[in-house]
Amino acid sequence: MDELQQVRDFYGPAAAPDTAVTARAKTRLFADEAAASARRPGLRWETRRRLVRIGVPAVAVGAAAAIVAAGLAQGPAASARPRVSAGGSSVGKSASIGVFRLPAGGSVGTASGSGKQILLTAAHNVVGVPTTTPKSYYVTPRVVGNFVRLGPKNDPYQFLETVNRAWWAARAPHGTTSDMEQEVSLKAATPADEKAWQKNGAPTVWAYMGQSEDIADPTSPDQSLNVPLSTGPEPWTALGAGSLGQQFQVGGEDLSFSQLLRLPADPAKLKKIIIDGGLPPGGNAVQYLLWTVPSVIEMPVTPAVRAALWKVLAALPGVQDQGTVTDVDGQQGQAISYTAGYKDCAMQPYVSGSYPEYLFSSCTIKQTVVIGSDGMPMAEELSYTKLPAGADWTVPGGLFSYETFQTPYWTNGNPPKAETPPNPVPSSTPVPPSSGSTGGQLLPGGSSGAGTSPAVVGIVGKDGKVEILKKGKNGVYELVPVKKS
Amino acid sequence: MLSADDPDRFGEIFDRYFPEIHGYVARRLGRDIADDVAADTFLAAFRARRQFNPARGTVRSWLYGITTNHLSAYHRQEIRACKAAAASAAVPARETAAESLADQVAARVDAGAARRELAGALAGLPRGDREVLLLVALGGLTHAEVAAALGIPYGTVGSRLNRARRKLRSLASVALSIGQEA
Repeated sequence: MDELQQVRDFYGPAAAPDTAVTARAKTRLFADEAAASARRPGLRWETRRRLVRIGVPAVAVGAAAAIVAAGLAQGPAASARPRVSAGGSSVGKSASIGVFRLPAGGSVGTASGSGKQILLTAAHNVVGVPTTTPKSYYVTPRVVGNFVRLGPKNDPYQFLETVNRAWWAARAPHGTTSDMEQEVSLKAATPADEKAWQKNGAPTVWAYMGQSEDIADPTSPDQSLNVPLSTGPEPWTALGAGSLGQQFQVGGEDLSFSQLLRLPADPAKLKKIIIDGGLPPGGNAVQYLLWTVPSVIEMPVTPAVRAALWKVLAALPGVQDQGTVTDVDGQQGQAISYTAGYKDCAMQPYVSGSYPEYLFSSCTIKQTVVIGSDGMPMAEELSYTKLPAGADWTVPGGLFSYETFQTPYWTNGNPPKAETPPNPVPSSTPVPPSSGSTGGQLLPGGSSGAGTSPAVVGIVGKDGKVEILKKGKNGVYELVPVKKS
Repeated sequence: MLSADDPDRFGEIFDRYFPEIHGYVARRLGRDIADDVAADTFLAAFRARRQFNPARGTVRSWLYGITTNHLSAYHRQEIRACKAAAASAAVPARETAAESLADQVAARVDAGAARRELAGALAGLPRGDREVLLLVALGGLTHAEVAAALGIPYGTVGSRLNRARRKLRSLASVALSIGQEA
């Protein structure tokens, strides 16, 4: 009898699930369907919960060089930077990663009255839409920035992760629409965060999602299990390419281009279309519309519809005028904001070596929409304005997530060549923190070897055990225990 | 190949795999926890069904991957139960209606020292290795399916499995020698 049979015997046979349990679980799926469609459009920070790869900006070459100097191999043919590397405490004070800076006069304006006038001005300023010369794809490019918390639980630090995102909507009703994404850069949120990162040994890899025994594995197709920090922009990935049936998502509806052109230029009707099937039961309609409407304004709708969409927002209660502000890119625009309190805040991963958890039991979030002089949305920013006693968030202005909108366009070109993404393993149910579970501490990397990829890419220690991730036969990386001397 | 995309087709996926996933979790953690974990797994899969890409693995391996993720919340509980079982003296057989996870594990170790050794050895495995071992031993997944489920390279599945088996062999030598005689 071998070990596997022994294990099977130990666990015994499987009993069939209770029919009531099965029925309940199945009912739950379909009851969830209406609400599920609501989660897709607006809750952008939630979609970023799956912290994938983190790129380091090109300016952080110093960090890469320091890591190489610390003993990690970088082959001569490595025109591209090594995808994964593990830094160590020996990198010490010389490690630098770049620090986020909010532009002077950054958009933390003070509310001064209802935002109605700004929105009506935006509606008036709406310019001609590129609907007249449609081509194969309508592209809406954006830059998404998320501040994520990394490092040890007792001394965490915040980094800004920047991602290029572009929705490539096919004009043909059955064309392939792609949601493209590219990790661009990583910066410390503040100089203090950079210091805390250095104190943590300037790591470049974080274990993630319960895979605490693992460190980043460069051959792993599923980057959601490990969070390697690479030293430059990553290739584009296509999220759900081929399986996205919809071209333009308006509230809960997936519309084709021709359907989009037939939207009514009537605020009340538009509001109903966007809310129906889109707003979760009990959801905050103001918050939802502020998230959703700007993305519809970006679509190739008629100028009249675009103007009517701004009027939808102008009629909402609680929307405030922020006046002229500077967005995170340093561009000026008129801004409106909406502030509300929430429970279980921070839908972004706390990478502690275990699994995601909520950062705060409650918070107050200010949602800001910056509008350009052409009547197009320029940026959306989310900031904490209030946190529970004892909680802290070091990013200037309480900023924790933003998107900047670039000018959308039609093209006959093709989406950027993408790596095939792995099947994401969702973790939709927030998992409570387990007490005292910590991942491996990153220890100084060592060894070196010639070749295009490092022979030893990292060293991880856990519970006093030390293992190295080593390139073995056939280019497969393996964790090899290191004997204590 | 089932398409995970539309709700109706997903109903077929549910009918086909729910009992299997539930059984896998029930064997590891008992029926109560399996009720929750299996339901959560299918809800998460349903929500993410549009992202499922058949080119990257089967529906079955995808579901086991989600299950493994959800099981991480019970990781410590599972270890504690195994350790408790390993430390306990032989208890009377309790084949059915085990109330708690600890009871259930304890019931399994009634065969005596051999099984206690095995429980201890299982508790001592690194989580990544234990997941591979249990997906193969209990889930009956192939190496390729385990690789897809856990998002690890094919070669790593083999090395982890071998490492887990070696460890069981060394830590549970008593259990294995008794097993071989049986």
